[in-house]
Amino acid sequence: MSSPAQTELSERAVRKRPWWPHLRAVLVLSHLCAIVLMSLPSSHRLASRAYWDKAEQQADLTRWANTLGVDREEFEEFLWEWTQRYVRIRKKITKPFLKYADYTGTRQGWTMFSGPRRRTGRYVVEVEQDGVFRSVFRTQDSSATWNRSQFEHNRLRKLMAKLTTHPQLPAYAQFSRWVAKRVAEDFPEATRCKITLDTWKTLSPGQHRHGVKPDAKRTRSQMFTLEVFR
Amino acid sequence: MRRRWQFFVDLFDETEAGTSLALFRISIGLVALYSLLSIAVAGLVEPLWTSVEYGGMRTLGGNWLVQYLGGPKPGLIWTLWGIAVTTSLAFVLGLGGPISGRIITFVMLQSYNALVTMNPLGSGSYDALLSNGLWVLVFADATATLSVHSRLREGRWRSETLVSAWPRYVLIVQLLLMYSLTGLQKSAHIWTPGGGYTALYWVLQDLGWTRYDFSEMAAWVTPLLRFGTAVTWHWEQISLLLLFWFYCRYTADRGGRVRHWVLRRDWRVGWAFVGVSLHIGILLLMNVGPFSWVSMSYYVLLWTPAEWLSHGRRARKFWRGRVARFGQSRAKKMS
Repeated sequence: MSSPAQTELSERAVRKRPWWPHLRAVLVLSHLCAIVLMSLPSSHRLASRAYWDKAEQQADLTRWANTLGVDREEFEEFLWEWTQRYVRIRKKITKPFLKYADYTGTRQGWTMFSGPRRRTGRYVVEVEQDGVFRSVFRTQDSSATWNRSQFEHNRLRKLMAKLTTHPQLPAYAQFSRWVAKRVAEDFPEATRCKITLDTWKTLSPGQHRHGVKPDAKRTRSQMFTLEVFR
Repeated sequence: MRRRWQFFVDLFDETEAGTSLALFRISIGLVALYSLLSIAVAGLVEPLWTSVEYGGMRTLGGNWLVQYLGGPKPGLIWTLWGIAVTTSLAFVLGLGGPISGRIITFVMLQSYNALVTMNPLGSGSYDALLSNGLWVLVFADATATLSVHSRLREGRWRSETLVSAWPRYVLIVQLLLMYSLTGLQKSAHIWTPGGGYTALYWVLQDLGWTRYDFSEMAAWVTPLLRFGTAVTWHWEQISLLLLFWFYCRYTADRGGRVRHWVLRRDWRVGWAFVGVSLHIGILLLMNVGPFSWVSMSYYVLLWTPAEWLSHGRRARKFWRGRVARFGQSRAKKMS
């Protein structure tokens, strides 16, 4: 609560401009309204049938249906229908605030680890010198640490983490090409470089305790002739 | 209806000393500086924020400001970076009065936001939380105290000048909204009791986010990780309830049994204790940028300037007592 001196100051200001406290309240409440509405879950994945049909999402739906003791198909249908209604309503009610968020930097969207992934991966950069390939970078491997300061910067890690699960994105090819250019600069003697992404299904605690090793699959592999970058 | 409206009009008319806002200003300003400098030190300004035709790693468009200024070219990006760093420094130091200070904040917000929205694949929630904080501070008198402005105007770093309290209230809502909404979106079965609260175990299996490869070690500490998952999930979801405590405190003179029960304990202390513990865990185990530092910067706003001054006095008294006792015991030993 305000002190008497504060109250007096405020009263003086109100006498001068009686409309100001009301206008300020309107503006502050409008901002609050905007951030609350825009923070409602908005991922495009909610409306994507392809995303719903992914094996991981289907398995999660099955687990939920089992926990709730309901029919699996009916549960999915019910959820899908209500989610589409929700997405439509959300789109309508947030429309007036989108420009506001764009111009003022007040975008919301707090999807953080909402569904931890069950697949992970490792990038490997290999360089060919005198006809022999050797690894110069491997994710989380202290024996191959070329360009680590860049690859381990949080912004680049975020990008690489995204590409691990979406290697089909055009950004993946562009990223690999950028890495190849960096290799060409740092290894002037090298002739070619190979950039691969190995991914695997992460292991359960029981599998780890029994010494099971991840079954890594080569998801994407690209070879670059370094001559073109010099 | 009229009475309810008047409640908000009065609430947003409150004034207080600027200490909490100033501490928040310094704290998020330092995070912004770290964010901007670390990317330059790593040599990633051009690779991440310029388009592929200028040496960047992706085809980029940029936000409205970047597009208006001609697109993500190296010259523009470095200019924006320079402006963002300079204004962040001025912001931390508290340069500028009620008008020029706000202009500095606005320029900092726009330049920072233009950069971090350039490449969505390389942007994090901490950028959004930071720019949300900056936008509110554009309307706050955040340089009133603990600032160069205060030093130049009054000859001392600390000032008793009163500032509007509503920016602090809005920022508290923003913080709690962020936590609750992220909690409510953690709908994967593994976050829930039905899924055995195993989400954190699976998060630690993902090499893309962890600080080191903890995947095998995590298998031996699953009870601890389950406990961490349960605390994180429930704590995040109920965070918005803290607003009820603030409401009860603000209307304490109205009395009532519920209000009395709620106000028996300071909910902020328990809430912040859990929050800080979770963020320490994130800092130790994961590499998600300065997200924890931005979030914890907001925590200072939970306490009023008067409470900060009282905490400061108590801390000083405590340390003076400690030092005095240490001196006495040493003197005794010597004699």
